[in-house]
Amino acid sequence: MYKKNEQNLKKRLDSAARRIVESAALSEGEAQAIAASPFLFARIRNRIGVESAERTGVWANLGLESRRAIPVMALAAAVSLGLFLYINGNKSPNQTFSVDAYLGAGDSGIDSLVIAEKRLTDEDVLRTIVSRDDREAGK
Amino acid sequence: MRRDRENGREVITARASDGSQSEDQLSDSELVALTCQGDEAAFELLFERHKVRVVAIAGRFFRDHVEDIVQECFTRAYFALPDFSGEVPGSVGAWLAKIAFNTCYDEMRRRGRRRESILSELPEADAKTIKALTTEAGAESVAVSRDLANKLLAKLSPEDRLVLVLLDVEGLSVNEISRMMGWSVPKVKVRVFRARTDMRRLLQKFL
Repeated sequence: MYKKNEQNLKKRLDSAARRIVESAALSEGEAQAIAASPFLFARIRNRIGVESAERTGVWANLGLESRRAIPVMALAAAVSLGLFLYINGNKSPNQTFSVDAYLGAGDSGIDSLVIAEKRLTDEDVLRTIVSRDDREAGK
Repeated sequence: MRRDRENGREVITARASDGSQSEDQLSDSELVALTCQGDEAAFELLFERHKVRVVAIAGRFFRDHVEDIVQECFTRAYFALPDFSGEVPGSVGAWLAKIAFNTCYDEMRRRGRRRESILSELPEADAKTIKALTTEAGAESVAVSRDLANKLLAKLSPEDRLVLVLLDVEGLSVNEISRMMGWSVPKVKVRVFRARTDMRRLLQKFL
């Protein structure tokens, strides 16, 4: 009984909703009157003209900009390439970064880095240590 | 294609392949082809043929600025004409209707869900109308003003409103709505369910 009542209510509400949706629409007469407006197509034609001009303008501007940009980009690429070749050509093989020294392979970090950067030989290091030990012994 | 003034009336004429003049007898597909070639008069003729239908569609969703929607719709159609296949006869109307519904949907979403009025603030007469509408014989006999109907429908989401119009007014099936809006069938079904539920909930407040 309850279920039947509920279904009945649903049906009534749905048909009321349908009426509301239908009532929200323009009547045929109103639609005809709006469609008969003498300026409607003129407005559309105007809008199409504006949009066409905008679209053409965008492509034309893009073409113009790219025409200007291409030589500049080519120049920038040439300069970059020249700089790259110049730097690589002048670089001596001794100046390469020592990964072993940086990672401290076989020695402790900062000392190795200092040694690697200053190109100290083992003898230089030994001399430095000995002279430091001598200085401390002298104190 | 040529425009003449005949007895004070503007007539669009087309030259047939045999050289004879045929007046206003071009099919929609031929007009589409001519428009794509830059013939503005052909587009005007298409507009004249389909404008009432497009206005009616826009009028289902909007009370004001209907002309703006129609303008937007035909502008979109103009730029989309090269994509129109035109394989099915009479399909220009359906294609334009699809553009019109999509334009209305976009516009509703752009405007957002307007809460123009709070339901409890509806005049007593409107509340009575809605109550009468939900009675046994009410749906057939009670007149609903366009204003009141729009106030109620403004409570729905754009998707729900669109689905209700397509189902109840246009009489489209779920599959047709799916094709028209580019939504999946399950999405349409969910939308229909939600729209019906929301509408029932809305109306039940007046019982």
